[in-house]
Amino acid sequence: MKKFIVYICTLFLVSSCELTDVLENDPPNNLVPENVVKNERDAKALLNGVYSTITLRSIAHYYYYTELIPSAMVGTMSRVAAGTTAGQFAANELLFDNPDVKNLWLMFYKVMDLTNNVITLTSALDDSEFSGNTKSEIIGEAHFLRAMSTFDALRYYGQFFDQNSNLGIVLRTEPVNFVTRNKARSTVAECYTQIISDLDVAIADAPDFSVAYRGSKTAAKALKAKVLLYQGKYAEAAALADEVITEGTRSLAPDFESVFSSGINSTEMILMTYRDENSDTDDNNRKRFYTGRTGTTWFPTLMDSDPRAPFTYSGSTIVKVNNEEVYRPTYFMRLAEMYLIKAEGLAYSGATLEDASIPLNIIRNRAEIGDSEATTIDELKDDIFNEIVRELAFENGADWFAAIRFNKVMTLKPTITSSNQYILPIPENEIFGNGKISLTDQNPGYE
Amino acid sequence: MKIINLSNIADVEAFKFDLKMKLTSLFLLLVLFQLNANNSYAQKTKVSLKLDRVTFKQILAEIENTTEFNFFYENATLNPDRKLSLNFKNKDIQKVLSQIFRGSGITFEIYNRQIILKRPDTLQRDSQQIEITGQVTDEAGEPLPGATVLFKDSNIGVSTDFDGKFKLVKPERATTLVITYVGYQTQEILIEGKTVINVQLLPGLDALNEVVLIGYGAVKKEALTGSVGVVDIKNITNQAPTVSLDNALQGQVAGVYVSTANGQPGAAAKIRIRGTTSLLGSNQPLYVIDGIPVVANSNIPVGGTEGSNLGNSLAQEGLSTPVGNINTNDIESISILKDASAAAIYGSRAANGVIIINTKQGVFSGEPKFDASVSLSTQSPKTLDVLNAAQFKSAWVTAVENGTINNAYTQSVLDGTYFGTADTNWEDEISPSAPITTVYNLSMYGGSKKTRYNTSIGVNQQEGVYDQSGFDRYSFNMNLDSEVSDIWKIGSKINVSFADQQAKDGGITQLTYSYRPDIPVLNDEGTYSYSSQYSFENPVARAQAYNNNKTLLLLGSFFTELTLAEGLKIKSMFALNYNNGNQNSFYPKFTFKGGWSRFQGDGDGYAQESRSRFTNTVWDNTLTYTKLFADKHQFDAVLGASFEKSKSSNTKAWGEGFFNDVLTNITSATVYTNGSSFETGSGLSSYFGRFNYDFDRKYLLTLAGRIDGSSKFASDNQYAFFPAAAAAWRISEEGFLADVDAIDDLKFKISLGKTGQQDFSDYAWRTLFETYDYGGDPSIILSQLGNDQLKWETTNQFDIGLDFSLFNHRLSGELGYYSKKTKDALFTAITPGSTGFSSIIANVGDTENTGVELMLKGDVIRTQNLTWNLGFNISRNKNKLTKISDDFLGDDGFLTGFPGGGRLKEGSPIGLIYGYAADGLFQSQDEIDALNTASPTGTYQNSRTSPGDVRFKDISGPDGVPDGRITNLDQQVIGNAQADFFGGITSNLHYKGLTLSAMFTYAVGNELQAFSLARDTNFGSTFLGENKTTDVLNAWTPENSSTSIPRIVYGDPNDNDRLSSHYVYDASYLRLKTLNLSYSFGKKFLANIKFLDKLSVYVIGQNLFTITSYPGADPEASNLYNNDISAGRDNNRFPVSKVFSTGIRLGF
Repeated sequence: MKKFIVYICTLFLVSSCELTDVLENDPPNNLVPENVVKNERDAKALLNGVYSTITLRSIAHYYYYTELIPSAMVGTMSRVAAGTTAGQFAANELLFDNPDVKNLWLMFYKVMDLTNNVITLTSALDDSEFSGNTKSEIIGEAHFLRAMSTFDALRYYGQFFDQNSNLGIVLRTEPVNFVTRNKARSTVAECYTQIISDLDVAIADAPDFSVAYRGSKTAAKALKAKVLLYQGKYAEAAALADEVITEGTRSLAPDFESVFSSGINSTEMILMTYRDENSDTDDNNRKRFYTGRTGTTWFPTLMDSDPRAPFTYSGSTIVKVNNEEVYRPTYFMRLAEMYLIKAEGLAYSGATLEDASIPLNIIRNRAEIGDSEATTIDELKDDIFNEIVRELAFENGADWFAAIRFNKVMTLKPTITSSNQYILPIPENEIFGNGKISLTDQNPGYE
Repeated sequence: MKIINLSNIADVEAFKFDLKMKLTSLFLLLVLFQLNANNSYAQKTKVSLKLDRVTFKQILAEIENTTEFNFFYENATLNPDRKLSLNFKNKDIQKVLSQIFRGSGITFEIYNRQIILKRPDTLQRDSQQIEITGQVTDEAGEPLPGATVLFKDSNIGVSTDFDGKFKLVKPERATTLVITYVGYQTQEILIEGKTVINVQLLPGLDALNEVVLIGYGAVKKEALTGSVGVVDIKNITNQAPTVSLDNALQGQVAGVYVSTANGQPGAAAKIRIRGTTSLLGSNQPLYVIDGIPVVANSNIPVGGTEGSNLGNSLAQEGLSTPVGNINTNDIESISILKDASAAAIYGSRAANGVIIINTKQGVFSGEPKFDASVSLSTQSPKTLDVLNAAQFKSAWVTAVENGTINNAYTQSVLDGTYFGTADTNWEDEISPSAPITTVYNLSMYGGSKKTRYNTSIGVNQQEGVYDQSGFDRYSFNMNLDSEVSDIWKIGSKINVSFADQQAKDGGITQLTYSYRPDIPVLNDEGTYSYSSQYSFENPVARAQAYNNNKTLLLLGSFFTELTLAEGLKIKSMFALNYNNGNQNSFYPKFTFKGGWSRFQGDGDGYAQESRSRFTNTVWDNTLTYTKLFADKHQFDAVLGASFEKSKSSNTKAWGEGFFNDVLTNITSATVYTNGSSFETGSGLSSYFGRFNYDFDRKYLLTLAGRIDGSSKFASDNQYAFFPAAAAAWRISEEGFLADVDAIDDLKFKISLGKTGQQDFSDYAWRTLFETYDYGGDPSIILSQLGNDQLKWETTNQFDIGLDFSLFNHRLSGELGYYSKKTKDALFTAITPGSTGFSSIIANVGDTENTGVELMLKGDVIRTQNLTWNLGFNISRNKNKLTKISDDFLGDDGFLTGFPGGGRLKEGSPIGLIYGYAADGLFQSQDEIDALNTASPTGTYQNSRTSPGDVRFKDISGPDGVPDGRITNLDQQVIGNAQADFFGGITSNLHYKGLTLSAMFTYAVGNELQAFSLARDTNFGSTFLGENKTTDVLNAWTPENSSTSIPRIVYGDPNDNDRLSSHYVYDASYLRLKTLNLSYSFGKKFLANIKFLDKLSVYVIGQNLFTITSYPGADPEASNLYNNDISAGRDNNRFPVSKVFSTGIRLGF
């Protein structure tokens, strides 16, 4: 009998590991930080997820809020959507509990958080898991995407126009947990430093340009040129824009119409969203209600008789960023913008009228409106601004931020009477939910 | 007749004796063994005594202490002044006693272990001695050997012999005999000159010797320190067989609130033990069935939005929870652990209390015995009365006439073309006349000397009150345990049950109330008729839809126990809880969910099929130690480790496109199909212990604790400790109360401890990723923000109580006070957007419950043939939300937006009803004009407000003061769904074989919003329902002004049906839940039917009447079984039924 008991006890001891090891419990239908990246394929998929996050309709609306909101604020569109809270954008009278202000902020950070996960989790994986330099390419591309989302957050919510301001945004460079939710705003200078440093990593490590719907070295350079421009580093911006132009990976489309009729095959796109025949139905992911939105004040006047107008809007309906033929992609950056950045950079950094006109005229001539007739650098600046609006309206806030940079926004939009209105309020839930931000940290004019 | 019966007695006696001799039960063997031992006890036992100058009394006490002898004598026998010094070593008792009593004149006789002392004077009157003889039998008439028969107020008495017989010499002054036996009620019988006294004892009432189940063990009731409610299992089995286990617990134990949220057969009841603690988590208690934790959640996969959230709505109704699978007939005992000291041993899952259930065991050395029962029940639902076609027509004509709306519809009402010619009673159309429930139970139990078994089968076939609704269950129970050797025990318990739940659509009851009676079921084309003014299909069409869910539940456990040393045992148990659900729904093309609409006609039909599987394995190891030191220090300790692993998975497929009703499987869908699958798991590893110390049965101390490690929390936060302590003082054991005859037992208890709650999703703390795609390649996106600090909700509970038993256990009771403070209650918290997420589940709330409980039991009549005992319990619980994250608080301090309505506010109870305050009906136009004149806008409520409309109170305005108008700002808290008091009353009357049991349940002060009543008596829009309840026949008119039903007016311009206090009712009630009359045939009768041991027949009436002023169908109505925030809304769900049962129980 005793022996039998011993046998039973032994049996239990042997099986007890299986029986007692109950706390390790990874979800079978979800991935967790511990197992989400185990090899190169996983790392690529996670990186790919950043683009999914930008294009997903169900979680936030990065891909089309960045068309609607700045356009409504500057007046190239007349409204964001129906309803009183959406109306606050066109009226430039935002309240800090505006739900779209909350969502815009949220999605920038959703993207930023996923890039942080890509960087952290891919870095932690052994080099031997990767072929060639894939590991650094993945990390490099993630840095580009982090720079993009950080820059977007900064220019919508931080005093991006004032290098000495303390009112930057919350910088996130680590995967976030509820435990680490509290973080203070950084200064504007710190934000720019972070963005530039990320872009420098991307310029060094991101993959070469292959498709317009993914980040690349070229995209990183292009974005850096744009960031430098916002920083007032005009000469550097012009030089870098020129580098993108001359490196030749991208080329201007022969005419304006074909820029937007070739979808993801457009030759001048540097960064855009991927769309195909399934995209509209997947997740009901289409841009709806783009009728009745064209700006009704200064914008039609400016566009009047411009050959680009019919490809930009039709009556009150937006067509440029809602082209059904190519499944309505969103455009973040394209080569034409580099020409305009170069022109703006040169004009503001003391270049000659002639030098500064060259890149501008390339764009004007493609649009078949002939060379600029500016006779002074100030006139040229006006032409550059008008050209940005006509060429890049609805594209990733180009029109809105140009109006701020060229100091024209108060003239164009009488409802804007203070630079406080250049940026949005920090959303309510950030102030209530973030222990390191209080009401006194709110952007001026929104307290 | 009498003569014949009398002459049969001798035969009966003989028969009994024969039968008895045949029995080889261990019990009798033991008794025989004892008898043998007794005969020689006096010879074998040697007595050693060394005493200096002590009284007789002290000497006898010393002998009783050191030997097993007991002395019986009249007090006057012993001379209290006489003192002796003694010194014996290993002497025979005979010799010792002779020496002690030498010269005192006292003589003694030794019977077994009893020594009877006689005074000299009794000896002298030997010739006049009166001898009393008799027999003590149990409730079944079987002899009770070993019962004590004593003359009251004396020490003279004997134990009954093997045949339950006794013989006593009556002392001169004795008037009463007292008969006691462990586990039976003590009886006193007046002698009154009788010389033969036969006594039948009734079981049970000696509650102090009752053994009470507690976590990982059992204790004697007298040694209990915690607050544990013991359910009298008879009160459960007395109820109609249609009543499920959780429902049957209603009114049984103080502090346990049970309400029937849904009368659908097999649906879970809402149980709250000492209040609602959790906001997001479950508030249902943890069930522990034969040591296996069981959570009362539905096994229907919730899924996504498919079928208009069908999965979710079925699960919320509490269909197919494992508790519904348990056959009450298999249950031996139920304990409800209420306070922290009792529940803390279940640690992180005990905050809502624990219900411990053990199933029946066999008996050692018992011949196979069979118990069988059959019952037949019929039910009739309690529903509302609605208008017939003629009343319907006239009501709508009045409504249109009183209104100001003029359109095609109102024209057609006035000219009569709107109405049909039918007179359909929709309830009758979808309800069979008398749904029948048949229940069969058969169990067999018995055992050999070392092995015992109990096995049973139960078949329950229940028809619901609606056609094709019902609940069929087959349950099998098998318990086996064996003593392999003196030190080794082994056994297993297996409970398998299969339930087939057929449920109707949750909204069908309301639909029968709302659907117009003037149209036929089918129109001339043979399709289901419908109303042009109402969006839904007719009730008969909807009744063709079915929701079927089959559940296979297996609770199986295997244990082995080894005695390592005296009092030290180690036990290991492995258990499996397996729950397999197979759900099937079909909504034909002519139902609304099946795509039908009154504009487009038939849709495609919708079908859904899902399977769920839940497995939970438990490995428990316990070490128990019991030791009594120096007669006074009793130690009991349990130390254990438990490892639990749960896995739950489901797959689901759904489709559209079913053009006939035969092929309803998903593959037959012709339009569209889709599917989903999900799996989740969790683990719990726990270490626990309990230490009981009992000093001299006077002072009791319990220390208990559990360390739980749960996979539901981040690694840093995985472990938590749940300690508890309790102390009790049995005041009645103190010397100063020893002489107070009235007090049998008096115990003061106090306890303090901590419990937890972790019944929420398995991966709530984790950062989660899910798959997606981009540019034709797979991608991974974030789907949940991690919360490394997520932890259990913890509840600190303080408890004081007083247990008492008075007047020879005639009156006993328990009085208790508790305070439960829950902190870190889970609730949605706002996260800063810079985390990429806008909200998360976090520990942000605090709740509090305090309460008082009283339980009383009394024997009103206690005689040989007639007993009547009453039980009463009452509880009061005050619930409060003490803290909530203020993230979502509105400017008015309320939290809103919960599914099903309801509000939360700090400092208020959970489940507030919020709306306008009403002040009766306007009786005159002058009244309205006066208010309109005083209003800044010239209108108080509505420009078309008329007499007969509800008058709302002006409570506030934009400036925070009444502004003379009725606006949104005039809303306030108008009700609270929680009862002020609740409880139950039980009564059991036995007269010979006849037993009449009644159980009442009641609640006082629970308020209910008659959401449906507002719509069922107003005529706002036909789209809210066309037909009305008969209450509108009593609607306000200038001639009928003393009514609460507003005037009949189409369009309801005053918005009378808005959420207001006019429709919030005090739903206090008193319900006769069970009335049971049973008759057990006596031994004499059974003797004629040779093979039967027991035979009883019974009739039961369930929910016979309810006294309430609540106008709805059921004052116990509650929105959903596990949603406390919206509890105060009566949505007219599946009605509760009146049940009549009749049945027969046999034992052979």
